[in-house]
Parts: sequence; structure tokens; C-alpha cells
Amino acid sequence: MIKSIRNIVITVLLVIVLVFVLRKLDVIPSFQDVFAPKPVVIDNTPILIKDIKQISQLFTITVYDEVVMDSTKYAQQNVISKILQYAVPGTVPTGFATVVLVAKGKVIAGTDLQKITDKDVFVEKDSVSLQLPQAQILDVIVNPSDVSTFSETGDWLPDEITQVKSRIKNKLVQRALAQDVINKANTQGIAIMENFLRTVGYKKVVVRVANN
Amino acid sequence: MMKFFYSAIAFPILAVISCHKPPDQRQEVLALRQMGNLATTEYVVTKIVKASDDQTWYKLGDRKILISCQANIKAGVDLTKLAENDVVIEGKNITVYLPPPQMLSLSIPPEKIKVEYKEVSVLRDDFDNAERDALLTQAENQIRNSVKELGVMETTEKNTTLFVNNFLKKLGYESINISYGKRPEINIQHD
Repeated sequence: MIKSIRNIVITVLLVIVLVFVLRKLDVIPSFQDVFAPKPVVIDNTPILIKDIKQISQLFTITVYDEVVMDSTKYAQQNVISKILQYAVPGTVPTGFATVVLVAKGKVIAGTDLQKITDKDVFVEKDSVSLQLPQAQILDVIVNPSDVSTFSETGDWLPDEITQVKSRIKNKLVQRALAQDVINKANTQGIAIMENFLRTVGYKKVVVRVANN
Repeated sequence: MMKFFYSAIAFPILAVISCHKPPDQRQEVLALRQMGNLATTEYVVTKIVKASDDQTWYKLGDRKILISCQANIKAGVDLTKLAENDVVIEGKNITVYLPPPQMLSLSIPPEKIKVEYKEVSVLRDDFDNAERDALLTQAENQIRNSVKELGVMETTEKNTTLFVNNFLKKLGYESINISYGKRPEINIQHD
């Protein structure tokens, strides 16, 4: 009797160990995986080229930043309101819908070299003088992969989320400008162009930025 | 006999636990970065994001969504990589070996994202923002991985050559030769 109990205990232990080891080696799925929702995978649809532009932008400063933006609206509750509407006709329960987004964005500042005209370049033997246009914000990048939804209650239409993301972009720009990004981009632009002009053979190089 | 069984049980557990790698704890640092990238090409591309949420066995009813989005890809060369060795000057003739073109930025502006169509059965919740962003992140990765097939690098080489050519002409050079990659080594034989 004792022997058979011992055999059962040992068998059970061995099975547990076997399951544990196979699970650790990813040979069998975990119980969690069985009940985990399957990820939604998008189809590999074609990419359509809409336009190809020739640009001449000198990226000199990139500000990486993280901002939090929230929005609240007066709205009908999602599931509960629907049930109550059907259960008790005439009842329209209302509440607040809130969304909080955390976004890691990039602000790129630099110089649009397309604005350089013949008047801005002066060459004399081994000397060169170049006047650059004022630096500007060239791009504010907040991609879907940069945004995480910290909290979302109620129904939020895509257009409403777009407005929140636009506010994120504005905040990123304001914070970048507060870091004096334009002056830093001007200084870096001068350094890059001075270095480039020396590399292409000029001994005396003067690069300055046009006044506003 | 019992010692053998205990060893048989303990050994694989210890072996598996000892193989477990600790999670990566590197801290992400966001900062202001100086650079010198010359962007010469911008591609504007569009993509339809098509997804069906019908793979989870215990969820009753399906959800389908179609989202259109636009992405702006900027490419160019890193001018900070240009060294004196990469330039050969002979009077009014110049040869420049520019660094190879690269993708400098990819932007999917939120205002260019539009939900074109969706179909959600009664027993399912609508796609929320986090789910829409997760689908768009996949699209972003697909676009990022397709840069080569889109011919961005070839166009960027052409546009960069054109820009540098015009710029060096303004500086007074008459014969300009632009190449990409490292300048070939010149072997000087000493007698």
C-alpha cells in the first residue's frame, strides 16, 4: 500500500518536473498563453509612393523628449450606458471619458539650405564667405510607436485622439524652443558648414547666419 | 534509490533556473543631440492598414478595421563623417567621397491617419486608441523595413550628388566628381 502511494507521488512529481522543464524550454505553451488573446497582425499591404521631393535640409539638432498629455470629455459611459439604455428606456447615464497619452517625440531643428542664393556665397581665391538662413524647426515626429496609452476610459474617436496628439506636438515644440534649440541649431549649422568648406579646400572660411 | 529520484527531480529544475537570463535593465536617456545630416530626399508614401481580430478562440464575434496612413521618409548623408581624406583637389577639379546615404527620419503624422472602415460585432468592444496605435506601429515597422525596396537610397544618391555638385559649382569648382563610400586606398610603392 505504502509502496503504491510512493509510486504515485513520485510519478506526479516527475510529471510536474517534466511539465516545468518543457514549459521553461518553450516546448509546450503555458496555461496563461492558452487563454491569452492572440495578437492582431496586420496584412502585408503594398506601400504606395505618393510623391518624391528633392530637399536640402541640414539637420543639426535633434531634441528627444517625453511628454504626457491628457484629455477629458463629458460622454456617455460605454457598456453600462448601453445596457441601461436597453434595460430602462429613457435613462441616459452620463460620465466622463478620459485619455492619458505618454509620447516620446523628436524635434529636429536645422537649416533649409534651399534658401541659400548666389548672393549668400562669396569666393575669393582660397577664401569663402557663406551666409546661412536662420535655423528653424524642420520636423516634429510623434509616430504611433512613440505613443503609449497610459489610461483610456470611455469611447474616443480617432479624430479626438488626433487632436490630443497635435497638442503633444505643440508641447514638444514649446519645450524644444525653451531649450534654445534655434540658437543651438544655428551654431551647429555654422560649425558643420565651416568644417565642410575647409574639407573642400578653403583655407579662410567665414560662415554666418542671416539676421531675422 | 530515493536519493536518485530526488537528484533526478532537482537537477533539471536547477539547470533551467540557472539558464534564466536577468531582464535588460538599461535606462533610456532622452537628450538633445548635435548632428550634421544633410537631407536631400523626401518620400511621401501611403499605406492601408488592414487587420482582422478573429484569432482568439474564446472571443465571440469578429472585429475588422481599415486605416489609411501617410508616412514621410527623409534620407540623406551624414556630413560629420566627411573627412579630409575623402576629398581630392587638383586645381579646379574636385573629387568627393561622401558617406553612404541613410534614412534620417520616418514620420507618420497623426493628422494623416484616418480610419476608413471598421466592422465590430455586437459582442465585441470597439478598437480603442491603444489597439489602433499597436496596428499602426506594425505598419510603421513595415514601412521602415521597405525603405530599400522603395528605392530611397538610389534617389538620395542622385539628389545628394545634384545638391553637392551645384554647391561646389557655386564655390568655383569646374569639374566635380562625387562618389559614395570610402576613398579607395592608394598604394605607394617605395623603392
